[in-house]
Amino acid sequence: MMVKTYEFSIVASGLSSAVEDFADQFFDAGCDDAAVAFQKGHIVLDFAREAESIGDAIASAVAAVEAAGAKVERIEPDPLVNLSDIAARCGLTRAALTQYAKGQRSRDFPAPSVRVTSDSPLWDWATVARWLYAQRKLSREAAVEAEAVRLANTALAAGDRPLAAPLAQRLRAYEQTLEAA
Amino acid sequence: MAKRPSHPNEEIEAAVSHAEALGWSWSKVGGHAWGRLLCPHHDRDGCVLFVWSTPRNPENHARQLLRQIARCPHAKQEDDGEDL
Repeated sequence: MMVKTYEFSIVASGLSSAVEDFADQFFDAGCDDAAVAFQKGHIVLDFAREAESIGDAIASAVAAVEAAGAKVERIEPDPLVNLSDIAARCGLTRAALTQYAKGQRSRDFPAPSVRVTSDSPLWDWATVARWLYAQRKLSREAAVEAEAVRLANTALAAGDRPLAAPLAQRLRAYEQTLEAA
Repeated sequence: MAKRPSHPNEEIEAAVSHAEALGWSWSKVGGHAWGRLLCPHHDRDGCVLFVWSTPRNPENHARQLLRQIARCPHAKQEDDGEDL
Protein backbone atom coordinates (compact mmCIF):
# COMPACT_ATOMS: atom_id res chain seq x y z
CA MET A 1 0.00 0.00 0.00
CA MET A 2 1.10 3.53 -0.62
CA VAL A 3 1.80 5.92 2.21
CA LYS A 4 -0.03 9.20 1.84
CA THR A 5 -0.39 12.33 3.96
CA TYR A 6 -3.89 12.78 5.37
CA GLU A 7 -5.08 16.07 6.80
CA PHE A 8 -7.81 16.38 9.44
CA SER A 9 -8.34 18.01 12.81
CA ILE A 10 -8.99 16.52 16.21
CA VAL A 11 -10.99 18.56 18.71
CA ALA A 12 -10.13 17.61 22.28
CA SER A 13 -10.56 18.73 25.88
CA GLY A 14 -9.37 17.90 29.36
CA LEU A 15 -5.94 19.53 29.45
CA SER A 16 -5.31 23.11 30.55
CA SER A 17 -3.32 25.23 28.10
CA ALA A 18 -2.03 27.20 31.10
CA VAL A 19 0.31 24.46 32.33
CA GLU A 20 3.95 24.81 31.33
CA ASP A 21 4.25 21.47 29.51
CA PHE A 22 0.85 21.64 27.75
CA ALA A 23 2.37 21.42 24.28
CA ASP A 24 5.12 18.97 25.27
CA GLN A 25 2.55 16.42 26.40
CA PHE A 26 1.33 16.25 22.80
CA PHE A 27 4.82 16.31 21.28
CA ASP A 28 6.00 13.46 23.49
CA ALA A 29 2.90 11.41 22.62
CA GLY A 30 3.79 11.63 18.92
CA CYS A 31 1.77 14.64 17.79
CA ASP A 32 4.77 16.39 16.22
CA ASP A 33 2.93 16.17 12.90
CA ALA A 34 0.10 18.31 14.30
CA ALA A 35 -0.21 22.00 15.07
CA VAL A 36 -1.61 22.38 18.57
CA ALA A 37 -3.94 25.27 19.25
CA PHE A 38 -6.41 26.40 21.84
CA GLN A 39 -9.44 27.96 20.16
CA LYS A 40 -12.90 28.85 21.42
CA GLY A 41 -12.37 26.83 24.58
CA HIS A 42 -11.25 23.68 22.76
CA ILE A 43 -7.92 22.07 22.06
CA VAL A 44 -7.63 21.80 18.27
CA LEU A 45 -4.92 19.68 16.68
CA ASP A 46 -4.45 20.03 12.92
CA PHE A 47 -2.82 16.82 11.72
CA ALA A 48 -0.91 16.09 8.52
CA ARG A 49 -0.30 12.40 9.16
CA GLU A 50 1.44 9.92 6.90
CA ALA A 51 -0.25 6.54 6.89
CA GLU A 52 -1.33 3.73 4.59
CA SER A 53 -4.98 4.70 4.84
CA ILE A 54 -7.19 7.46 6.17
CA GLY A 55 -8.50 5.00 8.77
CA ASP A 56 -4.99 4.27 10.08
CA ALA A 57 -4.15 7.97 10.11
CA ILE A 58 -7.22 8.90 12.18
CA ALA A 59 -6.97 5.92 14.54
CA SER A 60 -3.29 6.48 15.34
CA ALA A 61 -3.79 10.23 15.80
CA VAL A 62 -6.70 9.63 18.20
CA ALA A 63 -4.53 7.17 20.16
CA ALA A 64 -1.70 9.75 20.36
CA VAL A 65 -3.99 12.54 21.59
CA GLU A 66 -5.40 10.20 24.23
CA ALA A 67 -1.90 9.12 25.26
CA ALA A 68 -1.16 12.81 25.89
CA GLY A 69 -3.97 12.75 28.45
CA ALA A 70 -6.64 14.63 26.50
CA LYS A 71 -10.19 13.54 25.75
CA VAL A 72 -10.99 13.35 22.03
CA GLU A 73 -14.30 15.10 21.31
CA ARG A 74 -14.54 14.68 17.56
CA ILE A 75 -12.78 14.59 14.22
CA GLU A 76 -13.20 17.42 11.76
CA PRO A 77 -13.73 18.60 8.98
CA ASP A 78 -17.16 19.11 10.36
CA PRO A 79 -19.43 16.34 9.04
CA LEU A 80 -22.41 18.71 8.82
CA VAL A 81 -22.14 21.12 5.92
CA ASN A 82 -24.15 23.83 4.19
CA LEU A 83 -24.17 24.39 0.43
CA SER A 84 -21.22 26.82 0.60
CA ASP A 85 -19.14 24.25 2.50
CA ILE A 86 -20.03 21.61 -0.09
CA ALA A 87 -19.03 23.97 -2.89
CA ALA A 88 -15.66 24.64 -1.24
CA ARG A 89 -15.01 20.94 -0.68
CA CYS A 90 -15.83 19.71 -4.18
CA GLY A 91 -14.80 22.71 -6.26
CA LEU A 92 -18.23 23.36 -7.80
CA THR A 93 -19.79 26.81 -7.63
CA ARG A 94 -22.31 27.71 -4.97
CA ALA A 95 -24.79 28.48 -7.76
CA ALA A 96 -24.39 24.99 -9.20
CA LEU A 97 -25.05 23.44 -5.79
CA THR A 98 -28.16 25.53 -5.28
CA GLN A 99 -29.44 24.14 -8.59
CA TYR A 100 -28.60 20.60 -7.50
CA ALA A 101 -30.31 21.08 -4.14
CA LYS A 102 -33.44 22.48 -5.81
CA GLY A 103 -33.52 19.56 -8.19
CA GLN A 104 -32.99 21.79 -11.24
CA ARG A 105 -29.90 19.98 -12.44
CA SER A 106 -30.54 16.50 -11.27
CA ARG A 107 -33.26 14.85 -9.28
CA ASP A 108 -31.66 12.83 -6.57
CA PHE A 109 -29.43 15.22 -4.61
CA PRO A 110 -29.47 13.94 -1.00
CA ALA A 111 -31.95 15.50 1.38
CA PRO A 112 -30.54 17.64 4.19
CA SER A 113 -30.24 15.85 7.51
CA VAL A 114 -30.43 18.68 10.06
CA ARG A 115 -32.45 21.91 10.31
CA VAL A 116 -34.50 20.67 7.40
CA THR A 117 -37.37 23.06 8.03
CA SER A 118 -35.17 26.15 8.25
CA ASP A 119 -33.77 28.39 5.52
CA SER A 120 -30.28 27.10 6.27
CA PRO A 121 -30.42 23.30 6.26
CA LEU A 122 -27.32 21.18 6.80
CA TRP A 123 -26.26 18.07 4.93
CA ASP A 124 -24.29 15.05 6.06
CA TRP A 125 -21.00 15.45 4.18
CA ALA A 126 -20.36 11.72 3.75
CA THR A 127 -23.79 11.25 2.13
CA VAL A 128 -23.28 14.19 -0.20
CA ALA A 129 -19.71 13.09 -1.00
CA ARG A 130 -20.97 9.67 -2.05
CA TRP A 131 -23.57 11.25 -4.32
CA LEU A 132 -20.98 13.62 -5.81
CA TYR A 133 -18.67 10.66 -6.42
CA ALA A 134 -21.45 8.84 -8.25
CA GLN A 135 -21.92 11.95 -10.43
CA ARG A 136 -18.16 12.04 -11.06
CA LYS A 137 -17.92 15.44 -9.34
CA LEU A 138 -15.69 14.21 -6.53
CA SER A 139 -12.78 11.79 -6.38
CA ARG A 140 -13.21 8.35 -4.90
CA GLU A 141 -10.51 9.19 -2.33
CA ALA A 142 -12.42 12.26 -1.15
CA ALA A 143 -15.61 10.20 -0.79
CA VAL A 144 -13.77 7.56 1.24
CA GLU A 145 -12.17 10.21 3.46
CA ALA A 146 -15.57 11.79 4.10
CA GLU A 147 -16.97 8.42 5.14
CA ALA A 148 -13.89 7.73 7.31
CA VAL A 149 -14.45 10.93 9.29
CA ARG A 150 -18.14 10.08 9.70
CA LEU A 151 -17.37 6.50 10.81
CA ALA A 152 -14.64 7.69 13.19
CA ASN A 153 -17.01 10.16 14.86
CA THR A 154 -19.69 7.49 15.21
CA ALA A 155 -17.15 5.08 16.72
CA LEU A 156 -15.83 7.76 19.10
CA ALA A 157 -19.35 8.53 20.30
CA ALA A 158 -19.93 4.80 20.88
CA GLY A 159 -16.69 4.52 22.87
CA ASP A 160 -15.04 2.01 20.49
CA ARG A 161 -11.33 1.70 21.37
CA PRO A 162 -8.91 1.06 19.86
CA LEU A 163 -10.34 2.65 16.77
CA ALA A 164 -8.09 1.06 14.14
CA ALA A 165 -9.71 -2.36 13.63
CA PRO A 166 -13.41 -1.38 13.58
CA LEU A 167 -12.62 1.63 11.40
CA ALA A 168 -10.62 -0.43 8.89
CA GLN A 169 -13.36 -3.06 8.71
CA ARG A 170 -16.18 -0.55 8.19
CA LEU A 171 -14.17 1.35 5.59
CA ARG A 172 -13.50 -1.83 3.64
CA ALA A 173 -17.23 -2.54 3.61
CA TYR A 174 -17.89 1.01 2.42
CA GLU A 175 -15.34 0.74 -0.38
CA GLN A 176 -17.04 -2.48 -1.53
CA THR A 177 -20.38 -0.69 -1.75
CA LEU A 178 -18.68 2.03 -3.83
CA GLU A 179 -17.36 -0.63 -6.22
CA ALA A 180 -20.80 -2.15 -6.50
CA ALA A 181 -22.50 1.17 -7.20
CA MET B 1 7.34 44.92 20.56
CA ALA B 2 9.85 42.58 22.16
CA LYS B 3 12.34 41.17 19.74
CA ARG B 4 11.93 37.48 19.09
CA PRO B 5 14.34 35.01 17.53
CA SER B 6 13.72 33.90 13.95
CA HIS B 7 12.44 30.38 13.42
CA PRO B 8 15.16 28.34 11.68
CA ASN B 9 12.69 27.15 9.04
CA GLU B 10 11.93 29.77 6.43
CA GLU B 11 8.31 28.78 5.81
CA ILE B 12 7.44 28.61 9.50
CA GLU B 13 9.13 31.98 10.06
CA ALA B 14 6.97 33.41 7.26
CA ALA B 15 3.81 32.01 8.90
CA VAL B 16 4.79 33.56 12.24
CA SER B 17 5.49 36.94 10.60
CA HIS B 18 2.09 36.72 8.91
CA ALA B 19 0.45 36.13 12.31
CA GLU B 20 2.26 39.15 13.76
CA ALA B 21 1.07 41.31 10.86
CA LEU B 22 -2.47 40.32 11.89
CA GLY B 23 -1.87 41.38 15.49
CA TRP B 24 -0.75 38.11 17.08
CA SER B 25 2.06 38.21 19.60
CA TRP B 26 4.85 35.74 20.22
CA SER B 27 6.08 34.46 23.56
CA LYS B 28 8.70 31.94 24.50
CA VAL B 29 7.80 28.58 26.02
CA GLY B 30 10.03 25.80 27.27
CA GLY B 31 10.33 22.32 25.82
CA HIS B 32 9.62 21.23 22.25
CA ALA B 33 7.60 24.31 21.41
CA TRP B 34 9.68 27.09 19.92
CA GLY B 35 7.04 29.60 20.86
CA ARG B 36 3.44 30.37 21.53
CA LEU B 37 1.34 32.78 19.50
CA LEU B 38 -1.49 34.68 21.13
CA CYS B 39 -4.18 36.12 18.92
CA PRO B 40 -5.20 39.81 19.14
CA HIS B 41 -7.94 38.92 21.62
CA HIS B 42 -5.69 38.58 24.67
CA ASP B 43 -7.87 36.97 27.27
CA ARG B 44 -9.20 33.56 28.16
CA ASP B 45 -11.32 33.39 25.01
CA GLY B 46 -8.43 34.24 22.75
CA CYS B 47 -6.66 31.73 20.52
CA VAL B 48 -3.33 30.19 21.52
CA LEU B 49 -1.19 28.52 18.88
CA PHE B 50 1.97 26.51 19.51
CA VAL B 51 4.87 26.45 17.07
CA TRP B 52 7.24 23.47 17.19
CA SER B 53 11.02 23.89 16.99
CA THR B 54 11.36 20.64 15.07
CA PRO B 55 8.02 19.52 13.61
CA ARG B 56 7.99 16.21 11.76
CA ASN B 57 7.53 18.06 8.48
CA PRO B 58 8.27 21.83 8.51
CA GLU B 59 6.35 22.61 5.29
CA ASN B 60 3.23 20.89 6.60
CA HIS B 61 3.62 22.66 9.93
CA ALA B 62 3.83 26.07 8.25
CA ARG B 63 0.62 25.30 6.32
CA GLN B 64 -1.14 24.13 9.47
CA LEU B 65 -0.18 27.35 11.25
CA LEU B 66 -1.51 29.49 8.39
CA ARG B 67 -4.78 27.56 8.41
CA GLN B 68 -5.22 27.93 12.16
CA ILE B 69 -4.38 31.63 11.99
CA ALA B 70 -7.04 32.00 9.29
CA ARG B 71 -9.60 30.32 11.57
CA CYS B 72 -9.10 32.83 14.39
CA PRO B 73 -12.33 34.80 14.75
CA HIS B 74 -10.59 37.71 16.52
CA ALA B 75 -8.04 38.85 13.92
CA LYS B 76 -7.66 42.47 12.98
CA GLN B 77 -7.89 43.22 9.29
CA GLU B 78 -4.46 43.10 7.73
CA ASP B 79 -3.12 46.49 6.59
CA ASP B 80 -3.42 47.17 2.90
CA GLY B 81 0.31 47.76 2.56
CA GLU B 82 1.74 44.34 1.73
CA ASP B 83 5.31 45.22 2.69
CA LEU B 84 6.70 41.80 3.50
